[in-house]
Amino acid sequence: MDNKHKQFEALVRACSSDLYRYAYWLCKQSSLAEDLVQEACLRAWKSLHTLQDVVSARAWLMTIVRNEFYRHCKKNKRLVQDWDEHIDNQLSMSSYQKDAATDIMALRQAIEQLPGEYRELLVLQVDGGFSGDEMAEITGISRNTVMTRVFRARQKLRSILEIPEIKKVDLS
Amino acid sequence: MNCLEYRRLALQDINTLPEQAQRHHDECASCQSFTHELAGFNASLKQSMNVDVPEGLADRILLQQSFGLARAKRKQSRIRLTALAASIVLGLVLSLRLILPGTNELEQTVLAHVHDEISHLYENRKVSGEKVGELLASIDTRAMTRINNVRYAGTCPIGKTSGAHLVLEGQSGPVTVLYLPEASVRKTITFSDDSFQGVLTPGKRGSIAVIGDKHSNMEELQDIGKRMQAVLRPAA
Repeated sequence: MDNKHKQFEALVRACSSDLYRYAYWLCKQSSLAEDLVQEACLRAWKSLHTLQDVVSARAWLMTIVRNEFYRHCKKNKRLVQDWDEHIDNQLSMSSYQKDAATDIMALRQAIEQLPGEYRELLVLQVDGGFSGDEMAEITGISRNTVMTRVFRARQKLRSILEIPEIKKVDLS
Repeated sequence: MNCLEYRRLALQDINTLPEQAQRHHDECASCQSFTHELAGFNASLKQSMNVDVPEGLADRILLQQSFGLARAKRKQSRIRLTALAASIVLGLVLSLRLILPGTNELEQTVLAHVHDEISHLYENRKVSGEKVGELLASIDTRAMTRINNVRYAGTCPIGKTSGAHLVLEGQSGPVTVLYLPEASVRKTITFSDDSFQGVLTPGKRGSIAVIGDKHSNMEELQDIGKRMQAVLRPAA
């Protein structure tokens, strides 16, 4: 096995779970998430020679998954917002009942209700452990916008889950 | 720093609080309690994001990649068998390119860049004329008039060169404008692939590519190209 193969295998074994979870929270469909990761990894294989810094490999792969998702939306002539609306409608028609669900399920469904641009950054930060600068690099948006969206994501989640938002808490 | 400012920062990223925020935390019992609650909330969030990963995913990816390689090798041997025919076709194509304006390397680079950065087509921000001006200034360029309806603006490496990447609101969807100060073309060329079509125009310096969806109006793309040609100037 040559170096390129070894490097690729190590990357896939180290990152495929993270990539899948990111893809899942982008599209909210398990089978599509797997397809996105497979396609992204094939694309990564083809351009592995452009990866100069192994430290940033995970962020590089996340960017490829993200682009794959947007490519899929374009191919299927769907706006990302439509995607969210579609899934959210399904959610509201499902047997979702906050009281009956466990805490984790309630949280998971609350995350699903977040707008896509908030959700993906929260997932990158909380699940992926990426810094503001890294998230800016992955998504191609400024660090300030990234941090504002992360803040709003948490605020919105707290509002969905009926946890007091910071403007409403009693500040001593 | 007050409690509101502290909590805003904590909700952005609890792990990278500036020193001032840390000091506020150490002195404020209410914010300590808030931080404790937030840490618990983050832990629950992480747990809930941890969806099950399909078993054997990594193996399937590696298998698919190795099948892809095997296919590529078989294809390679077929290519060898038809090498003579291919070289004749190639010769013919090269000859035609001398006569007709065909697809060249820069057009391919431009299309590849739009594919690679496809997510920018979905940006829905309003980038101010000032921001666009600042961005252009960073690549020694100035806009003679304000460029409006910009949804995304950034500088990026495009193939072997670098330039400005703008996404404008077009009549029938987003339109990408790539300004390549270091890459020149002699005349205006149109190009397309399965997903996009565009026009590459000489600029006062370098070139300007305007790319839209394959169903976009080519006249509109050409108009934007001409407008950009008139507006973008090398900084004095």
